[in-house]
Amino acid sequence: MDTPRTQNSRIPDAAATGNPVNQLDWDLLWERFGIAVVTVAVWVIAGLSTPRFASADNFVSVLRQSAFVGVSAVGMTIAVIAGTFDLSVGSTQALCAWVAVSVAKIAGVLPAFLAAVTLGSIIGLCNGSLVALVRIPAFIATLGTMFLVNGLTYIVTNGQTVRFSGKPFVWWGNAQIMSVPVPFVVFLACALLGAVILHRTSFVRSVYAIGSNREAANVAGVPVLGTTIFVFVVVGLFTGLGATLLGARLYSAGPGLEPGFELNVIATVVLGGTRLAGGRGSMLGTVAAAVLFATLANVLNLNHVDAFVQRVVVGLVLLLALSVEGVRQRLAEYWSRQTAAIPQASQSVPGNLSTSPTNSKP
Amino acid sequence: MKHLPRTSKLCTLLSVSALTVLTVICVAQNSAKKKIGFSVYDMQYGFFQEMEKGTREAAEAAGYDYVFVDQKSSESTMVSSTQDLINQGINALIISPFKPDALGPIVDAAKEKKIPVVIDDIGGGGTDYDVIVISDNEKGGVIAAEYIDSVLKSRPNNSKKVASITCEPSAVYAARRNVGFEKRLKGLGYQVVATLSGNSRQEEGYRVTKDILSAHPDVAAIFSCNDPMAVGAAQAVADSGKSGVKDVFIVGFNADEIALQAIKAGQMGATIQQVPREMGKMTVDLATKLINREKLQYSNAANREVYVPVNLITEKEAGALLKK
Repeated sequence: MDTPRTQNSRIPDAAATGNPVNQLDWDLLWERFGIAVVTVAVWVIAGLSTPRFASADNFVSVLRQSAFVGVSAVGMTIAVIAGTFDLSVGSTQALCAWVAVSVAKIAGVLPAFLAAVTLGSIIGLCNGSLVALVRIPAFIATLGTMFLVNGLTYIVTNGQTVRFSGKPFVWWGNAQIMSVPVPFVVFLACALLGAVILHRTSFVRSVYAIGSNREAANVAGVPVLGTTIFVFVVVGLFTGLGATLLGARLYSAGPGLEPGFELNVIATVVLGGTRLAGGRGSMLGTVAAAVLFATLANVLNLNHVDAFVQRVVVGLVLLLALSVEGVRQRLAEYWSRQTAAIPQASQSVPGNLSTSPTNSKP
Repeated sequence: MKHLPRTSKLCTLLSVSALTVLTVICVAQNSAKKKIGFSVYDMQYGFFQEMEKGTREAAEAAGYDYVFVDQKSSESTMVSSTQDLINQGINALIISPFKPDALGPIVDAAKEKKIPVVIDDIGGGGTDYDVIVISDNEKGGVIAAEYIDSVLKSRPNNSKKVASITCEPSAVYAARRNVGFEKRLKGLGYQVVATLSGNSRQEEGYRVTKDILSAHPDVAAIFSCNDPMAVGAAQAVADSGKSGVKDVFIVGFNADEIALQAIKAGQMGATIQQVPREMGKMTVDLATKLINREKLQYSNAANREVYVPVNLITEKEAGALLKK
């Protein structure tokens, strides 16, 4: 079986129900590209409605801002596809950023990146082991590490912010390469890497399989334990990388770096079309969603929308985006009832509905 | 499957148009007016609501376009939202930074566009800002010392021993309160028997006061660097069977609501009020001067500081403030 197709359980379904393979699958297209289309649409609308939006400076800001959540969201996308998630990324980010800035101050840029990425991976390893070996549900396990790492951060940092404005280090957070902000370049590289991982390796088939149906994956001989642990390591690794970029952006890092970061990351992944139930998702969606969130925050700021109203808007957008799937299914059900008399149609619709994977969170 | 394209197109359209509505809540503003941008620490707190009010009123009175963003107590949001402010073509930036340490990228970005930066309170983070407005902390300490002296004079039986509770060591501006207090009291012939840090926290203010009371049972007054610690001190004094007014006269700093209530209830003596609204007004005045390239009058030229006066709040004023 071609690997890209394993990404989506619909194509085998479609084949099973006898539909020609070359038929356009709008659901699939929506799932893959919907959020990207919406993001571009929002850009156009924002550009037309807000004079300040379409300036080069502002685009740089938006793209740069999308990267800090985005890099971590790359790892989280893989985790969510595997039917799990990590609540500890916010604490991990704060600790890694602090370590990165501290190390950059003493030893330079490369050691800073290495230290943060290693630390992130170790925290990921702990999370993965707790979930896979000790069999604590991911929600509880990562909630636990969230508190633990957060507390550790305050102890290690003594509540103090560390500051370092060495040019080679802050370059990673603030500079541009041909008008494209460096953090965004790194984000795209990470997303590309994530996409390659998701499309090319057998690891990913395991990820999708675990996300779709953990029990079945286990029975089928998918290395569930190893894959689960590895997924958490990947989340930690990307979070450590993103944290270094943020530290470079802020010239500093301290405990309580970005309250609610973990929820922003998960929201980005879910808005990007990855199902929280696991089994499906794409990296392109995550990139688009990260940019969309950054755009929204920017446009709302440019229009002087009150900070509390901003939260309401972000919540509404998330709910709206996620209701699309449900609304679509309801409409499909309605249509199937309308057209139940025609055998062909009634045959295809249950095929659609059966694609919602059985939820099997560890 | 022929019907599905229609439904999903519909859904796409629906969500796109909904997002449109959200983004088009704006009016294109195009005016020749000069623009002042204010980036506020967090509008959750009364202190910063007052500061924002003062800034806005002064900016509007001076004929500026006024734009502001909320940092929501996040370093990351502080930098990104202030960057959005800078990108809007403001003529001056006023900022009360959540984390002064993360001011570097903001001040660098503003300087690149030749936008003057006025910091309102908290700290400058060692950056190249133009001016920082802070409460006259040292004077506040002096006012507290003189008020304590006037109260204790009418109680000849009291000792000449006083104690001073400081904020966390990193709060450099707040530390000046205790410096001003101790210097003035010594000048008035008192003995400062203890200077201890309560790290700005109420429970530590309580603990530190317990220590002071057991080491110096005859201490006559305690000055605290902020109100939560002063309220903690008042609780400790009350737990020792004494009064925070009649036996050990306690003075705090900030005029927080808990302190005003404690003063009204007779649990502590007084507090020193900062006036964020006046601070906001001052930042706009300074921004105007910077835009017009006028020379600034600093209270402390070495650190580019300008001070805003503070007020003494006793039982009488506390009642009035609480009614507001």
